[in-house]
Amino acid sequence: MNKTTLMTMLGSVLAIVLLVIVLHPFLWILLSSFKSEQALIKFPPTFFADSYSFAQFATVWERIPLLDFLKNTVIFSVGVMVVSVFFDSLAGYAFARIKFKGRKLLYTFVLILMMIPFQVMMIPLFVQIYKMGMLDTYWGLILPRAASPFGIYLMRSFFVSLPKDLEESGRVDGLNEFRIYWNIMLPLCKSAMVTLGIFLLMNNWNDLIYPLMLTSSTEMRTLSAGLAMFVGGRTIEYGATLAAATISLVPLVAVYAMAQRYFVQGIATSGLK
Amino acid sequence: MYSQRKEKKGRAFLALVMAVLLVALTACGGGNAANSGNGETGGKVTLSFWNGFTGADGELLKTIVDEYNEANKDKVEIKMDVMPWAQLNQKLPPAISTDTAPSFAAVIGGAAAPFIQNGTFQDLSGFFEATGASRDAYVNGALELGAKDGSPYLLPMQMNGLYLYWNKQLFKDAGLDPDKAPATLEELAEYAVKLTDPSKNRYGIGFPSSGAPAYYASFIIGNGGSVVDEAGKKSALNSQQNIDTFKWLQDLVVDKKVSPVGAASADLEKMMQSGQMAMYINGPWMVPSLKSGSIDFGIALPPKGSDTQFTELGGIGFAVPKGTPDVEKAAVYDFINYWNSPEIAKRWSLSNGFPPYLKAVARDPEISADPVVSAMADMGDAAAPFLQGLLTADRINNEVLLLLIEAVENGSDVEQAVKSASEAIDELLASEQ
Amino acid sequence: MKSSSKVSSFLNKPERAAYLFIAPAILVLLIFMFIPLVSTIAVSTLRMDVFMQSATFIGLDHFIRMMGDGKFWNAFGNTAYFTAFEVPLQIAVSLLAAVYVSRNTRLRKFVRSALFLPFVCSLTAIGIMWSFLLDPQIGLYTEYLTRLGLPRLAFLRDPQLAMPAVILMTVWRNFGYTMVILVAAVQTIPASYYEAAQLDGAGKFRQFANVTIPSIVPALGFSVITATIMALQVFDQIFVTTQGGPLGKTETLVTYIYKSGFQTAPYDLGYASAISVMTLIFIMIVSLTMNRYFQSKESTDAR
Repeated sequence: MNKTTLMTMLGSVLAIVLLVIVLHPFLWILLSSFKSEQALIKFPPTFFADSYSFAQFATVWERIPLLDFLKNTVIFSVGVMVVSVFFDSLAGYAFARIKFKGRKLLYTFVLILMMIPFQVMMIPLFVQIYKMGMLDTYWGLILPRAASPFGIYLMRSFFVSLPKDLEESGRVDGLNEFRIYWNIMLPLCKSAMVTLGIFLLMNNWNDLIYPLMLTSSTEMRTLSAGLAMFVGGRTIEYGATLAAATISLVPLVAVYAMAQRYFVQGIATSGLK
Repeated sequence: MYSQRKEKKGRAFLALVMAVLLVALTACGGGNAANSGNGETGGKVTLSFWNGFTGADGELLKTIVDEYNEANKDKVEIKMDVMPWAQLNQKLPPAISTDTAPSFAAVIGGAAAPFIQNGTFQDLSGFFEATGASRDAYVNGALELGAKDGSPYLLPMQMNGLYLYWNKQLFKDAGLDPDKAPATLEELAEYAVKLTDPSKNRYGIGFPSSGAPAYYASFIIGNGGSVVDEAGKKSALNSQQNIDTFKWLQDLVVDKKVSPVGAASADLEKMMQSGQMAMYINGPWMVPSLKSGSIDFGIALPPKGSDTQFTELGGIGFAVPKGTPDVEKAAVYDFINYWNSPEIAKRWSLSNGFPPYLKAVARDPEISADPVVSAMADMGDAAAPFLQGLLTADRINNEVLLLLIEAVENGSDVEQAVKSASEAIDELLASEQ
Repeated sequence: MKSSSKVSSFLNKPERAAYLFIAPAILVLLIFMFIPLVSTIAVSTLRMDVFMQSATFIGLDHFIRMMGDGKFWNAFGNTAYFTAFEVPLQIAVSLLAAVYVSRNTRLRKFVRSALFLPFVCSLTAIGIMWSFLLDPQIGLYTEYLTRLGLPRLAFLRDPQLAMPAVILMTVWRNFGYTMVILVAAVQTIPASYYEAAQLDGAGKFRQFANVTIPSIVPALGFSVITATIMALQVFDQIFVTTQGGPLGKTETLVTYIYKSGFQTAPYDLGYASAISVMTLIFIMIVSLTMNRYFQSKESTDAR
């Protein structure tokens, strides 16, 4: 056996091991949300159970207004995604392709904001949203996230890597700067936008503290707050927790599956300067 | 130029989606102005009510509130917002300071001290005059849940002690009398050793190191020790009694291995539910899970220590934040009065297995007929609040005492661990001044 | 039409257009991130709790107190520990995986997207899942390991094992993200580079070290820096699984901020803000140093 085939085999083994490590827990959580509480906590634990049912999903359904939560989550996370992708790509484009006074300073400012953990500014933000009268509204949830430093960083890295002179052809055609951005640049960074979009979508979809702080009624809560209802009590209902986790996972995995072609391409490009 | 046309279409679509979304958002946003839930409209009062009943008990609470809303359709509507207790504790202070707090909230007794001390909860003494309710209707201690200078700042919603639960089948298997709980801590230790069977991965008892404030109060106070001095100004933890208690605990966990190490209370509860553990001390909220696990269990007060028998008396009370106007406060009083009517209190007590705190309910034949609730109801003098009124009670419980337990369970030197825990308590108490 | 042509001519000046382009994003960041940040810095010099009823200016007292606070240094050390192991491990695993999946066969494309899956899920859900699977009694993986002959380990409850377990959990979730970035970079390396190396007699390993790695330095830099920033802010997965325990071994800066300011009395907002400011300074120093390092590396390698 020569060295190259040995390497290939080693690679395949490694890939299979990684695949099992990554996928096995997902299969487990999916299967387990159909198990009974008794089957989940029995000793010794087993991968399969004797019987499966929808009982845990029924509990989740009864306990939380699932459809309301889903609606809120979609409005909040899709709203943030759409607005932020637009704003971030505009800013990223300007930072990458146009020379202007204060560019370096403003860009450093953006980078520094990327380094702030949310917990650091949670309370001031809460007070501020209150003062603006936006507590417990969709605007109050979406506006503070309408631009993301990470998104600007990502979009800028992308625009920088595009060939020079692209703008020139546009200018020769007499397009203004917005037209150059909209007609020439945007079509080229579709995959970066999808990447950023899904990144923002999942971050906000999964976020717990932020939407919980800025809403004060059950009608405005998101799915992740629903998930917290099953773990935050004095007793944990494992079965219902897993069912709730599955429910919050499924839409994201579905979106991911649909977008993954762009997605995997898109993220990739962000690494290139 | 096919591809370019496709791009254009894509962008047109994107623009459309954005436009629709923005319009939808504006429409939704408008109808949801902050705090529109609170206040008075056309003689009808809308009350917002925060609580942490996220579990099965939340369903009954919702039913009761719905019934109340239905009965008072023209006057009051209560809107509940349910979130985990941890989030409630976190949201309430900034909400109060921005005047966006609910009309009233359910608050765990142990977490109420800071609110009461800095005046962000209202004095509820007026309740009795306003509703004609009598202080004498409550059992001893119920009105002291959140009392300061004789005035109640919390009105009881549910009370509880901590109890020893045991698995009767496992007792039988180990040759112990299944109907007899260990009466003393010595017996508890003896039983725990007998009930432990590593070959079946079975533990005699559980000693949690998180999620169980006041679990160890029964041992500490039972053996004649205490955590803070009478005035609540200095730590009293570093005493010989306490060192002996923790050495006893270390011997049980480290040498005799009767309990899993480092487990959270919820984990240990699950082990009781699956029959992997024979004894555990916990509040009434454990009853539904034992029943759902079809465990044949007994319930009793925690065993007597070398000095006395002690169980923590805790509870959840209704609180009214300072920003709630009098009109709403009056409506809240009416609801609390409804909640504390014998009929509702009995229903809550029986269905959730919590001990009654109204004398009328405690005497009720249905309560005495319920073996679990009646066992809990009879707490005698053993039940008292633990670390009450201390601003940092939560911290002392969760960050000092349970950390001490972790150290003890992991085999640290007990005298040293108790000494540094005691210093940590002094530090916390000093920060209160 | 007149106004539109005015807009048009305004937009024809690239510099002015640039300000217009960045305006919405900068405005949002200014209002909703920068102002709260400034407030946090201001509050860090005040004695104030979450109730915000009174505030006393105390200058740098909180920072002086922090220097003598064992819990702060413990959290600092744990954060450094987490970052020092999590980031290299994440990069190493993703690099290995990237080398394998970078060729575009159908199977490898499938593997690539499957390995990305954990990154889609919330840290809360993942934390719940792993604390379940690693439970010493009812955890499936604990059971598997005991069948392999290991003792029954309590990963998340053991002071020595808890942090490694949290690190592995985080690597499990995040490596797919880094992998995908690296794949793209690997794919842009011209085949001629490898051919040249082969002619020089370099084996697979030497090719990897001398061709692959230097060619993907920009992508590696991006990955290392974003992974480091994420690691220094670690919170969610710890809060769901260990809450900083056992024995404070998984307490990190952000969990400590959370506990001192927002969780229980005395709700010390001032002190929590001071720790926040320190944390931010720390993250800035680390990531800006890294940024400088990778940029210098890029320019020397380019030559």
